[in-house]
Amino acid sequence: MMRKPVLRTSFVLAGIACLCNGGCQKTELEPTPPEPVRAATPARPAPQFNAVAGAGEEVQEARLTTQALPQLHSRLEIATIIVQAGKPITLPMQYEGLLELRAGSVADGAGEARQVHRRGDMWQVGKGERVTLQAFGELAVVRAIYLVPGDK
Amino acid sequence: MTNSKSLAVLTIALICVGSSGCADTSWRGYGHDTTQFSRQPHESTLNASTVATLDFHPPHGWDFTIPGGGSFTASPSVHDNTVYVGSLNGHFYAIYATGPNQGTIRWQYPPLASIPPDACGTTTAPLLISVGSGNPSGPGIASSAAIAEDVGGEHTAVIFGAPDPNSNGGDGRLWALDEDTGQCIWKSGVIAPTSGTSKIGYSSPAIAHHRAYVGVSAKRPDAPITVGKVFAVDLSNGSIDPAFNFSAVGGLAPGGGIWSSPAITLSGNVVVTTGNSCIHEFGPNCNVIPSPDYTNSILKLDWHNGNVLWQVQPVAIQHDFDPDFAASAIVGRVSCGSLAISVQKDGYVHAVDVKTGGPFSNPACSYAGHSLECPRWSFPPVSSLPFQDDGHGDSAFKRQGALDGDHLFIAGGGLDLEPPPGHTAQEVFNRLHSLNVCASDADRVRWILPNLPGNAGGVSVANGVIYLGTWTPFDTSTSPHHLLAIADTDVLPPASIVCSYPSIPTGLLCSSAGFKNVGVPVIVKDITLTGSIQGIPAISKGRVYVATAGGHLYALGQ
Repeated sequence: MMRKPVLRTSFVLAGIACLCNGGCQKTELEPTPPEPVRAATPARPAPQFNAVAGAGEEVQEARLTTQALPQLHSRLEIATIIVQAGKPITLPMQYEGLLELRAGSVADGAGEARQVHRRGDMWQVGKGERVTLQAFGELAVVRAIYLVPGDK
Repeated sequence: MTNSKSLAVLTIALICVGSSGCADTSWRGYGHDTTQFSRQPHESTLNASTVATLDFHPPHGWDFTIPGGGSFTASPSVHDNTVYVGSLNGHFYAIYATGPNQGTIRWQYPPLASIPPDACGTTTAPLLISVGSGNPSGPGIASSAAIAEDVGGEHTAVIFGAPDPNSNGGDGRLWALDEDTGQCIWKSGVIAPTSGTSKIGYSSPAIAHHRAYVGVSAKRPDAPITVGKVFAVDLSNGSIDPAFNFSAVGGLAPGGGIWSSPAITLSGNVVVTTGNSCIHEFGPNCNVIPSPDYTNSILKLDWHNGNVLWQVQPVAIQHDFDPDFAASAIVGRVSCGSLAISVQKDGYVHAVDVKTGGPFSNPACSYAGHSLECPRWSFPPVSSLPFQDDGHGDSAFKRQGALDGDHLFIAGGGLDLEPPPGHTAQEVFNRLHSLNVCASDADRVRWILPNLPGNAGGVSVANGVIYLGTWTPFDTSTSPHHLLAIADTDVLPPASIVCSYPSIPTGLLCSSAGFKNVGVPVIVKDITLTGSIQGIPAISKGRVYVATAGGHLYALGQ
């Protein structure tokens, strides 16, 4: 007799506990949807980097492509340059071209001419120029697009 | 009678659990709790109407300055009317949150005066690495504290990572301090030996299974780079569980430092994010691909043993130009399932289905030597992964977001992160995005707050108000920064309109280009504070607690 109210209250408590847990129906904690259907990316060969002559070990370059421009009697050379962080480095420019910051951040120039570039910035460099770059963070990646005259 | 009383107490307790009447209003660790949503679900005072008067000057709040100077890059935790935070000066502070002593030191560790010998060999020496610790992840305490129960018996403890000054000049350990007295309950076994290249930096312990999970990163980033590892520490006595092993790399090549804090999934597994390799950097054993390679990834680990259950590595290692995951992952249930979400330093946000079990992989996102999973979505959207180009490096997107329901608030690069030809590269570092994590790519962007008065730093949310600090990476000066209280567009109409691709003007030009005109939320309050706000603003009982790298801990209230 004494136990009946206790049992009834236990059922009520169990009911409350179920409600608190969002219902007594068992649900999967972390649903596992089907794998998304995607086009696989064809593997591309990794660029091979080599030290840039005259710029020290801190600067590495990989030539990506060379494209002849017969009507201009020139060719286009595109390279990726890695600049390690630390002291400023000097990059001798053999040709006229454009530099684009692809990753990281760098300061270009020295003194009052010093300019900080962020990803996506492009700037022109002249033949024979000695470009001073200082990378922040751990490294910066610069895309160099050179116009090389005199070639067919 | 006794039975009736017990039942009444039980019933009240259950009703309390079922409602928010007895809700825990504390902020128990980095990102609020182990999901790292950075959301306070039980805030009853602060809302879009009341934050307009937010202030730290008495009587609204207070401003605590580190005695003798120092910096806070850790985030504050709040429990039992006390704010807990460690400083780069090697001192851990417990500050009264409210009441007559608010804004004053309740206790600090190590103590200022000598104490009798204890289990930790406590002295008055600050918790510093004596030499060789770079950037604001050291040399003192950058790890945010977690509040844990039943530590070393029946203690409620604050647990954080820090160097041990009395052990080889700063061996990295976890420390468990009694939350009431500041007495050391235990210090863990050595996690980051001084003789090695790692330390416990920004990684903050995640508490689950009566363990604390924590990661290690490079002592002087990243020169030399270290091997990222996650450790599981028993809360009973601080011993390191030898059965749990996770190294981000195999073989001799280092990499994969853990700069972030582990998160715990609903079923108890561990999600971590990892840092870069040194394939394009100088250092011992660099320039080779490690095997296995868990660098630059979001990973789900089996909580028992550290086995990898899935890995998302958005950038192929051959194209690793330092796009670390510096941000932690937000992990938990949303309306469309369970997601793990984080932002990589290159500005891409990735969301991954947590899933039950594992290991999982998908050939579509894998490449030679790697069994990778695909994310459910990325922002900006990408057609295929992994990336194999030279555009993924350190663009300073390092702060994790906050999640409220399906609404994510995060500093990410945005749709014009990769400007198409003819468009100018944008300054994208000073924007906050709100994303719907369960919407289609086309409807992902809810709103954008552009042109912030600085880089978007730590974010938290309560009652539709987003608290955002501005920060400057590596800046430990006292330069002014901002804390913004922003009203989500669900609670206040937007102030104006911007194109979801912000380089394109609003209006017809935006919609005809296939983008959406979205709102710019209202900044309800803009408060200037001293120092960069790297950590996450903690929200508790009508106050917002903000620690700055300028050495201030603020309590802002009405």
